[in-house]
Amino acid sequence: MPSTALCTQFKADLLNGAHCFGATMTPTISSTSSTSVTAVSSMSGIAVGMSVSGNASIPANTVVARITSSTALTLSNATTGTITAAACTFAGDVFRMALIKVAPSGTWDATATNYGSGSGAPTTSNLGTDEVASGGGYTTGGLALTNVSAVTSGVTGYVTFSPDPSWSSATFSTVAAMIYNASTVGRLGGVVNRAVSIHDFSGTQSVSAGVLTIVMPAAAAATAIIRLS
Amino acid sequence: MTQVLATNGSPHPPRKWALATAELIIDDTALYGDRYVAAQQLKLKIAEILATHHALNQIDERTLIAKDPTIILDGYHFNRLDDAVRDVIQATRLTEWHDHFEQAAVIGVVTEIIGKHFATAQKIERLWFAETHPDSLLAKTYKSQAIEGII
Repeated sequence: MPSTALCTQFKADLLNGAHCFGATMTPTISSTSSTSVTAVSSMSGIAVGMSVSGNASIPANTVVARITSSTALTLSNATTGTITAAACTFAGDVFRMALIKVAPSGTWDATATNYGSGSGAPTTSNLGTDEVASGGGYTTGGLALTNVSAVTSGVTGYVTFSPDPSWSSATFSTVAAMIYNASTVGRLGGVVNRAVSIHDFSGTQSVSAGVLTIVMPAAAAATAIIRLS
Repeated sequence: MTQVLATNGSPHPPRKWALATAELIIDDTALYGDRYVAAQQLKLKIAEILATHHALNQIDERTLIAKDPTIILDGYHFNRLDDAVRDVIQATRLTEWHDHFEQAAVIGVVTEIIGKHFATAQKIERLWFAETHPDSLLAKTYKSQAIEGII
């Protein structure tokens, strides 16, 4: 049976800078056909590695390469035209929630390291056929979660996601979920689809032609879904 | 702990949402005896109050979508949030936890919990609209963005 746990490999990955839980930010920026960006209206919540988009002059797959001052940064790709005080989108990594089927063959707990390829035999590095199959309102890979920037309370730092993930027109059963980092940024060589945590549902949860929602715990120091204290 | 809400044939009813919200507001995991019973009573009282607010939140969203479906691509609305939080804090009066719920930090957590559930309920109304209008370009756009976490 699955067990609720923060994945052990995730803890090491976190210390190695493999994850960015930052919420989407939309400061205004300026740039003139270069990797240099100036006049960033607010650097709050911006981190190296965040994806940058939202303007036709920003090439696909551009990320923040360096933060050079409180109002300037360097991009991984040069802008292809002039940007003048335009709002752009800076986004953290994409975290997804995948659902685990009833009677999985694997033991899903802190030992999980990866979501894996979306198919194949289940191992600690591949959810594989232990994931709820596509169909009935569910698609393998699960749903993307919406990041909320990390905050602190007392001696605890924590993150949450909002709103809660929901599947509609859903007809399936599940016993647990895996949150994993589906970002294509690739902060560490060879690290993709890393597992973050496993969440046991205390038994089989079934839905038929309806809605299934995973209600996350309150975003507070003692309860938040991912917290370090 | 995560909770799972599963409802067959429709979005979650307001009463189910209200119980889920109250479950997060009243953490009774470390209580026992009379205090546990008192916490259960307060939880049910808060759920009763929130059922009305959740119903109004869902009705608002359905009304807005019926009037102008393009709002499903907009942000969520929280115009009923302050009233709901005020009524929850009011419900704690004359209980032993009143001083706790008067703290700004606790009011902040209560606001976050109710606001998140209001937003999720609105999202479900939008998903339900999208599912029942499968040929609509608007619905297709919404579904793809919702699955990818953009909205």
